[in-house]
Order: sequence, then structure tokens, then C-alpha cells
Amino acid sequence: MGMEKVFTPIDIGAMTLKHRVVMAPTIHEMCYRGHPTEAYLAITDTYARSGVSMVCVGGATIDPGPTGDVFPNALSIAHDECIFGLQRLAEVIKAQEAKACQQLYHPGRAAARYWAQSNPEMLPWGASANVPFMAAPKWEITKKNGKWHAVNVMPPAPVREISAEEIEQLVRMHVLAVLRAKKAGFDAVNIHFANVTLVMDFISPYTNVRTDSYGGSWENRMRLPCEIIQATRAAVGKEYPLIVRIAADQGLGEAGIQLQDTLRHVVPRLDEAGVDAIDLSAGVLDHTPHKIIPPMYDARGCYLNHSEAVKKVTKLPVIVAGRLCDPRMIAKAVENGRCDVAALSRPLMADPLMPKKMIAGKPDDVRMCVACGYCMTEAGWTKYCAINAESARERSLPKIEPAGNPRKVLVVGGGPGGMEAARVLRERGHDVTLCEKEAQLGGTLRIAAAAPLTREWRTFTRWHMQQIERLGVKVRLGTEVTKELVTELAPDVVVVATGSVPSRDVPGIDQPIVVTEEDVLLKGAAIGKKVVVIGGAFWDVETAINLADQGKDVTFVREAASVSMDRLGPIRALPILFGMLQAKHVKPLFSTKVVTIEKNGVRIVDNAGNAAFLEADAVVLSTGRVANRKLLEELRGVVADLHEIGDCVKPRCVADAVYGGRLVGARI
Amino acid sequence: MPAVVNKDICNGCAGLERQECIYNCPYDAIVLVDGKAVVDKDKCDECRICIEVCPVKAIVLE
Repeated sequence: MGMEKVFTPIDIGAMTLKHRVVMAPTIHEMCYRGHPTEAYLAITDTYARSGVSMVCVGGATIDPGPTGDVFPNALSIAHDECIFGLQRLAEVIKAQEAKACQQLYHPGRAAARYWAQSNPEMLPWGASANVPFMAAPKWEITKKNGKWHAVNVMPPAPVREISAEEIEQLVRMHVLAVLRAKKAGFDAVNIHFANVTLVMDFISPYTNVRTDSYGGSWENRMRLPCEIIQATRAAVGKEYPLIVRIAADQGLGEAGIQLQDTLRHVVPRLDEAGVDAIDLSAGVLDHTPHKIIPPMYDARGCYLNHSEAVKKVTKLPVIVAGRLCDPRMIAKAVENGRCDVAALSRPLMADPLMPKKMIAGKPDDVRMCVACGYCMTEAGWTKYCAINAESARERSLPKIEPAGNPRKVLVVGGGPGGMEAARVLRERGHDVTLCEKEAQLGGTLRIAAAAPLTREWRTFTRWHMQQIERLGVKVRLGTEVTKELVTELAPDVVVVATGSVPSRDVPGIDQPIVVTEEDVLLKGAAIGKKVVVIGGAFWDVETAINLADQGKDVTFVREAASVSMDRLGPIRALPILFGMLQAKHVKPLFSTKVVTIEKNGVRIVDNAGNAAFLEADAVVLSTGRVANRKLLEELRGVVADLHEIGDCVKPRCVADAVYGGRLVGARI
Repeated sequence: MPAVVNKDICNGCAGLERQECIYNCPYDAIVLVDGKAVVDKDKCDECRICIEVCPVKAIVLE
């Protein structure tokens, strides 16, 4: 499949990588007081065994004080006591014959995120004091001058401009941190000048309005990063590989760093200062997190245009990340010279054997990351993965091992939970029958897969289907399981994964104009032009956008003051979703309750008590779901070994269904 | 909903070194027919790279 060039070696300074697929630097909140936990060593071991040529351990803070504290459970390289833990990390990586790289950074404004909120007397460091940090944004939607706006209602956290002496201290912190990484046994370092770093804030015109020699012109704004590189190079020697990560485009338009600036002003100066490779990211943590971690709305390989452009202005190796989930795309991009090295972060969580599968010529076996953002949830950046329950659970989930006593198992429901259970059970040698009442597998994910914005989910269902077929699970489609069928099949064990049905808890639900998302997206129900979407589910905005895309005149009604951020974390950034709502001319009505649905529209009332009537040809329910427990109740007391997983336990997200399936699969 | 080329907009990258969509498609799903790009629906995996690289914005998912 033309995988030749991607699996040829490449030199980063004096270091040779055996091929061009590496792990991208990724912050894991899996440390205790800055030191790696056993769980972090375990997930690092998983990455090292994936077949990548280099594992880059993500962002270690270089500042030992509160001004260096951003993610409470992240790694530190700020003092010599950190070396012990860092050695363990490097050892785990190098034991698998991968190169070990350590990323390090100063968080600058971002230190405001947690610490400064409780310690207002000491402000975090900024290049200038003009841009406070939007700590833990909480979005609400308000109408101002007849237009809707997404507003962060959390007070911004102020920062202060650091002094010339502190800049010297900052340079020294970088140098000392690089020396510690080297001492700990890392083969290279990745110095972080992007996303969430004080140095990026110096480079960017958005955050740097200084009037001294570090502000103003590009030359002045690039002074700090160049001084850091030169000082580091002098301390660490000519041979030690220095990789620098920059934001090729901050996503702030003219206010921030744009691609043309990166090409003209940033890369040439870093090149001259003596770096060994350029690693490309994009975005700013508090303003454009969806640029740092592009969501599934973006194209696969969405930053290859950046790397292609940067390669034209430098001879240094160019590393790029950003939705590189697709083995064929990676091979093609390297083959075509659009990047030198492909860096994977989320794709390795989704499938920690992806590079090995590529090398083995089995790209279709790869469980492709769908870019759902579950790994960035409010539960912390622990790196749980929605479609791979094993990620970050190396030490807790039972392994998939041959079942000592193969049994006859009936799995009811072919959604992500049921398919995961069937896959794991069959892998372990059980005799597995999977029954699905619809004519196709996929369950609730079929709805997401049918909607343009969330189409990527289809790749996960496709992967499950391939695996189930390969393993020989007996699949019976169009089969609704009843108590009688269970008696007839006489399985030893039943796993119920019957999922959920749309919530119908709305007055006037029986009016003929009411349709569900299933009706519209899966059954192709013809609906008129004027549509009211009643929200409540966490994908409700996408449903409204999808309908508007089909040319409908859409009003979106939601009782809450904002869209749901449930378990989708920072990349379901309200500004993008809200921007799409506006671009598609959806009329949003937040803080608005449905009083009743009538035969030609919806009666509503807002939180100020203003009532109104919205005329509609159709009302689309996106109100959320309720568990389908019918079969479960019937089988209680009839089947001795009965398990329940997924939405039929309680409607939740796909991650819970997959985890349930994986756990039950390994336990039976 | 695979990629679809709008034949009225596509100019087959006339005057350019190559057809960017064909060159970059990871699945070899695009060919040139009568000077216009055509996507094989069965091979397309909806990655959207052709949409990104098309110099005249002739491609959409449909």
C-alpha cells in the first residue's frame, strides 16, 4: 500500500529514528505531585510497545513554583528530585527500542487555571498583562443588540508582565530542565513553544505588547525563544537533539500568529538558533482549544497543509500532528513529502497497535480514532478512550485471555456495547451469538453515523463489524429477542445490551408533526421546511445544524442556558458549535421551555416568563434517551447468568457502553 | 456521503503540475475522466483531504 517511505529512517540531529511514525507529546494527568504514577508508567509502556519509533512524554513543567502549576496531576521536571521518576519513564520507553523524548514547558498565563484562583495575591506570569487567562470556561448564551453571543461567564484570571530578571530566570529554567531530561536518559527533548506556554505568549502579537527588547517587532518577539535555544544548545552540547513545538497558526486570525508569520518569521529564526526539528501544533488553550485538539468536524490530517508549507522554508525535519488517524493517509502524506514525521496522540489511544498494524500491512485492522474528544473530559486528562476501554486502564481491566471453560453466550443488541462484548467473548473462545433487532449493526451510533457532522463514528461500527466477522461471532440481524427465543436458544449466559429509546417526556408528544432523530436520519422521514428542534441531548446542536444543512428553516429550543458540555470537554468548544449554528442560520432559543406541542407548532416560554408560539411543519426530538429495560425485566429470574451493559443500564455515552462490553467480555 | 466533484467548478487542475485531489487521495479513489476529477464512491472513505487540497474548491461531501 505504498508504505515504503514512512518506514524509512530519518535523522533528527544526531539521533536516528528507525521510521517516521512517532508518539506526539501529550499531557497525561497521571502523576502525583509531579512524579509519574505506576499507571502513567503502564500507559507509557503501552505506547512504547505500539511500534512507534519515538515516544514523546508530554508537557513537564519547568517551574517549581506556583507560577509553573497548570494541570494538577501532570508531570514536573522543575527540580532535581524529578529525575528519578523521569528515569523510570525513559527506561520503559527505551526497553522497547523506541527513542525517548521529553517535552518541557513553562505554562505562563495558564498557571491561572487552578492555583491562582485560590491565591489571588500572586499572579501568574505573562509576556504582558493585557490578556488574562480564561480559567475553566463556563459558556452561556446571551442576546446582545439582536445577536446571539457565546459568552464565558467565568471571571478571567489576571496575569502580570514578567520582568527582565524573570526572563533570565525563565531561560535558566529551560536549560536546567533540558539537562535533567538528558540526565534521566531521554534521547531528545521537545521544547514546547505552542498552545499553553509562556514562550508562545512572547511570540504572539496577541499576548505580547511589551515595549522593551522582547516586544514589538518579530525580531524582538522571537528573541526569547532564540535565547532559550542558544542557551540550551551551549549547555547541552552540539549532539543532543532539540525539537521545538510551535503553533503554526493560533486560530486567532490577524490578532495572533498566522501560518504566513510562522513561515516568514518563526521557523527561519528557530532554524538559525540551532534546533534539530520543527514540530507543528496549532491553537491556544483558552481561546482555541479545538485547534490544539481538532474535533471530528475537521478533516483527517487537517494540519498537513501547515507541514507542507513549513517544509518549503526549512531543511529541518518537520513533524506534524492533527487527526492523523488513518494509516493510508499517513503513508501518502510522507510519500508525497507533505511532512517528514507523523505524530500520533489520540490515534494511539484508540489503537495502541496502530504502527505495528501499519508495518504488518494491515491498515484495515486499525481501530481509527474518531476524534470525539473523550480523552479530554472533565474527569481529567487521564486519557481514557471512548472506543478503547483499555487506554489508561492497563492495570485495572482484566486482560483478554482464553476462557478456561468456553460457554454459550447470547448477546442481545448490536450497538457498540453489545459488539464489544461479543468481540471480546469470542476472542476468548466462547461460543457467541449476537442478536440485533434492526437489519443493521450499530445501535444508537447509527444515528450519529448518519449525521454529516458526526460521520466518523461509522468507522468504529465498521471496525467492530470486521472484527466480529473475522472472529466468527454468529450474528442474527432483524431478530428481536424475547423470553421465548432465549428459552429456545438456551444459552449459558445472556448479555443484555438493548440500548435506549428517545425520551418522550414532552407535553403534546403524540402530535403527528413530532419526529425523532431516527425517523429523520435513518428512516428518511420527509419533513416540511419549518422545523423546531427540541434539545436536551448532548448532540442536539449537531442535529439542528444537520437539518439546517439540508435547507430547513430551523429553530433550536433548549431549556438550559447553554449547550451540554457533558463529557466532551474542551474540544466541544462552544465557539465552534455556536459559530456553526450562526453560519447555518439556525435560530437558537436558550433558557426556553416547551410548554406543549400543538398540531401546527410549539408553545414556548422563556425564563423571564415571555410566552410565544413557534409555527412548525415538523418538531424533531433531540431530548435525550431513556433505557430500554423490557427484556431485562423479563429475563430476571429466568436466566441465571444475566449481565446488562450500555444504555439499557442508564443512557450514557459510547465510552460507557464500550467499557461495559469490554469488562463483561473479559469477566464471563 | 462520499466526496463528490462539482463538474462545473473542476478544471482538472489545468496548467498545474498535477491534480491535487488525485495525488493526495489515500485510497486512490479519484481518477481523471474527460479532464475532470471523478470520485469512486466505493473507495472513498470520507477523509476530506481532497476537499482541503482542491485549489478551486470543487469538492464536497454529499
